[in-house]
Amino acid sequence: MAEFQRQGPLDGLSLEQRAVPDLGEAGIGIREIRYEGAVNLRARRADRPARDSLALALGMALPETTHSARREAQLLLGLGPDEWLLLCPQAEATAESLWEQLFESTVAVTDVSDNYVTLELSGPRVRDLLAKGVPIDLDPTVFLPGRCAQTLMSKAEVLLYRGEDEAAERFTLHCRPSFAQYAFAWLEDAAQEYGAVILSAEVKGAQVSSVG
Amino acid sequence: MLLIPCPYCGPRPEIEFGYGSEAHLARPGAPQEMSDEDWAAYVYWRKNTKGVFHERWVHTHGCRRWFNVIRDTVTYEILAAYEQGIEPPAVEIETYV
Repeated sequence: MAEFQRQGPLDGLSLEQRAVPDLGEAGIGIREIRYEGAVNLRARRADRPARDSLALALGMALPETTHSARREAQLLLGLGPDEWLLLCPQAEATAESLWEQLFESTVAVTDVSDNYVTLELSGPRVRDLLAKGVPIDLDPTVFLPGRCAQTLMSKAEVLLYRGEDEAAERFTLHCRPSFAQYAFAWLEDAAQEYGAVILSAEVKGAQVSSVG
Repeated sequence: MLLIPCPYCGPRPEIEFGYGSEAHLARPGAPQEMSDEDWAAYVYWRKNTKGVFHERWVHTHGCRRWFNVIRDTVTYEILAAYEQGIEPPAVEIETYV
């Protein structure tokens, strides 16, 4: 069993050195969320028993597409009629436990933690920033708290999630590692007119990963 | 730009989608018994409707699912969007020729 230190595609940008402690007067705050685990789950719509056992194993009802469900630190996003993404701190252990519980069911459990770079966008102008590149309706009465959407942000595929806290404008943006530098550069440039700051990264999972 | 109502994600802009041509084409059960002409008809010949048309779309940059749309090819009005494998909802069929 070897251990390695995970590295992210944004590591070369010296974000930690540029980070400020809080948003202050800035219109936008960009924060990287590091090492958060992600587990992709698939179960056919017609397969009632599989869906029931998946919901039981997760301890929450399966959300519809673009909706979400939360249980403690675990967030479940509905990606499609038969697909979900579970965001959790310990993806390896969670995936293994789910895999064992669902061994008899026709459910696919895949650890896709390294498939996403996660950025958290906050601040009073965050909606204006996103509106420049995201074609979907982000109006607060349409894109409600706790909703998610897979869409495009200036040509990069992103998974956008609006935090449950209605008062705080907070969006989480997941994108592919190969698009991360582009997405970050685009966000930073587009946010310039609103006054943007980099906030210190939040660590939501294990930095050290093991390969068997 | 079209605003396409994905049956799973709701209304989304056209740039998120890919086009898949005519819908409800059933693959023949025994291609080896067909004449070349019939096979060519299945593979290549399309209606090219001027008016209300049943067509396939895929939500490439969203949920990545295929579904069917009924669209007027003259006015570009989308009359219905529905899942694959079900009967199309009844709409008023307008043809211009």
